[in-house]
Amino acid sequence: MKGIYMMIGYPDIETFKEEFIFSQNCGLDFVEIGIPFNDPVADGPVISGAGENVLTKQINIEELMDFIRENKKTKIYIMTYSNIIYHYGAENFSKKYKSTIDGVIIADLPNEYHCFFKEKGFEIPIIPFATTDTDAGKLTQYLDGQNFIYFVGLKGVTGSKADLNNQVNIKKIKEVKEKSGYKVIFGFGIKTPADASAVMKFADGFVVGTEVVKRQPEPEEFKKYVKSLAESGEKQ
Amino acid sequence: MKNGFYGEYGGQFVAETLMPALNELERNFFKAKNDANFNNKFLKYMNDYAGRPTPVYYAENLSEKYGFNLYLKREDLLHTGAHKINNTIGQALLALQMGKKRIIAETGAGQHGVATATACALFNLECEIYMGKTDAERQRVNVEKMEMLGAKVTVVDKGSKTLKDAVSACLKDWVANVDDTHYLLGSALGPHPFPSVVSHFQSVIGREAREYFESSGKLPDYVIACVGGGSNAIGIFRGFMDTEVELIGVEAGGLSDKPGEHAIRFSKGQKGIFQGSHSYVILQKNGQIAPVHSVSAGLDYPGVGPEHAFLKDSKRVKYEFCRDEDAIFAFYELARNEGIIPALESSHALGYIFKNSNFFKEKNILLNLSGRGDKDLEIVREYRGGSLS
Repeated sequence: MKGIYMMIGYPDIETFKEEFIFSQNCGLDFVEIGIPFNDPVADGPVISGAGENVLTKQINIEELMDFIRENKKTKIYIMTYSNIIYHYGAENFSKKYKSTIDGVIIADLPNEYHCFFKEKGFEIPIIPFATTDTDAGKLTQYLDGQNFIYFVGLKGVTGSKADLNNQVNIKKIKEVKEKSGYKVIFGFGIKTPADASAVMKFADGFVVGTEVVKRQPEPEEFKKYVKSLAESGEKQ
Repeated sequence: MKNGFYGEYGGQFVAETLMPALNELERNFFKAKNDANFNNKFLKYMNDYAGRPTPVYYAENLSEKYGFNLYLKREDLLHTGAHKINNTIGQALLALQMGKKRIIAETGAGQHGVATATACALFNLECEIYMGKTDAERQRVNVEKMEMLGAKVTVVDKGSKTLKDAVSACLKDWVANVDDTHYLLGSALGPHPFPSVVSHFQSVIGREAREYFESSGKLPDYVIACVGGGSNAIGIFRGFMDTEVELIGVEAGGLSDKPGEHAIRFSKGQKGIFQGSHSYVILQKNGQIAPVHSVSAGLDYPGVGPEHAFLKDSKRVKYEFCRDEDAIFAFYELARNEGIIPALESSHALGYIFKNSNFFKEKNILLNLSGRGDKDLEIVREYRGGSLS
């Protein structure tokens, strides 16, 4: 499962739309859409800067979500922060977007707290996180028909460099896959198509964020890079 | 979901990566709380190093002037000049117990930063303090103190450049360095167990105040404290929670009720999830965190500790506010009538009392004077157009 993260509405509405359409047609399995929050404690400077840009321009996010729904071809995930969904209303958000999106990745919602939203009527799958410290057995209690588990490949914010040969990560991913029966996607720290190919040897997929967002302001460069990610891992 | 809530408020809204560290802190805290050795060590440092117990002072001149009986719990007399040292010594001892080598902390007004740097110097821990650029400029003396004490001060030039952004910077640092670093959070906010940890170490304030009044045979009618994150207020309220005493928390009313000109979380904010917990937050219409203002660098924070949110809803504590101008008035009123220069944070609680002095006539009021005001002289000078006199 190959995926990218894009910041919604960045650098402007038209460029985002063009790049979103391209991303869905170039062989990726999913696109993760970032909804910005102005206290993004899990984001490094590239993604938090892009989010700030979107918020400063007061881009209409709901309109863009309508566009995404109308043009959906692959699996779509939303990555955001708890307060965005909470403020919208867990049930309202769920009702409005459950046909558009296949899951949410909430950066400041640890697995134990999925029930905080579910108890409030949230019906969209919340993607569970795994880290090297995760108890793979315990993780199974948070599995609820989601499409995959998101493995956080490093301790740090988005945009940091991961050690892709880290044996602790590789061992943990294997353990999580075995005990959960779920696919495990590697996120955080992938910078190049070669990195993505390396990850595909031990994980079921990857998602690239910072390096994609960096290229969003330059559509041609964005397309070239995203295409190379979509083709990664297949020449081995 | 785990316990870690005060009613519906609290929780642990953080990156999954931080959960092991929060669990480790929770385990160690609850173990330490019931450990005589730990408590004896904490009390020893409180008494011999920090200067506890602090007195309750009857402010005779102001009482006579306004027609009430005003008692001040003198946390300003503690080493480093504020109640913050209670929590930093306590958490630094926990950090040692957990084998952590490095401490990070946020600071707004600088008092928590100075108290953290002090505890780190005392216990030989590496220390890095995050401070918003605006705060670092308006609290320059405290930056110098932190550096003198051996801490690295990292100035955060993002967002509002105040306490909110310092907390975010700390959370980001902690995620990256969680194995050897303890985040020494400075107020009764953030993810569980921090609100409980901070309240516990600050509850010494209320305990001592309660003992003072009990020994004189009568409890006060009101206990009043300023509320930024809420640690000094929880500290003193804890001593009177099981009584009939009326408890009042005072928020920063800033310049006006206009968005961006105050930090009144309870009546102008709404429920939200911010920096690790579910509580009251000042938000914009799309769920973004709103800008806030206070003349006090310690009170201009868009969120508030979850225990306060619970106490507000349960009506055990009443929350009021004080405008900048009333706080500045109180700053001078205490200085010139009692010879005590209060922190601008505490000046908000005082300002609320003076503004409503008719309501408090002949009542016995205990106010938590949580810090001293020498750190705020530059802010006051600027507020008054360049002169302190």
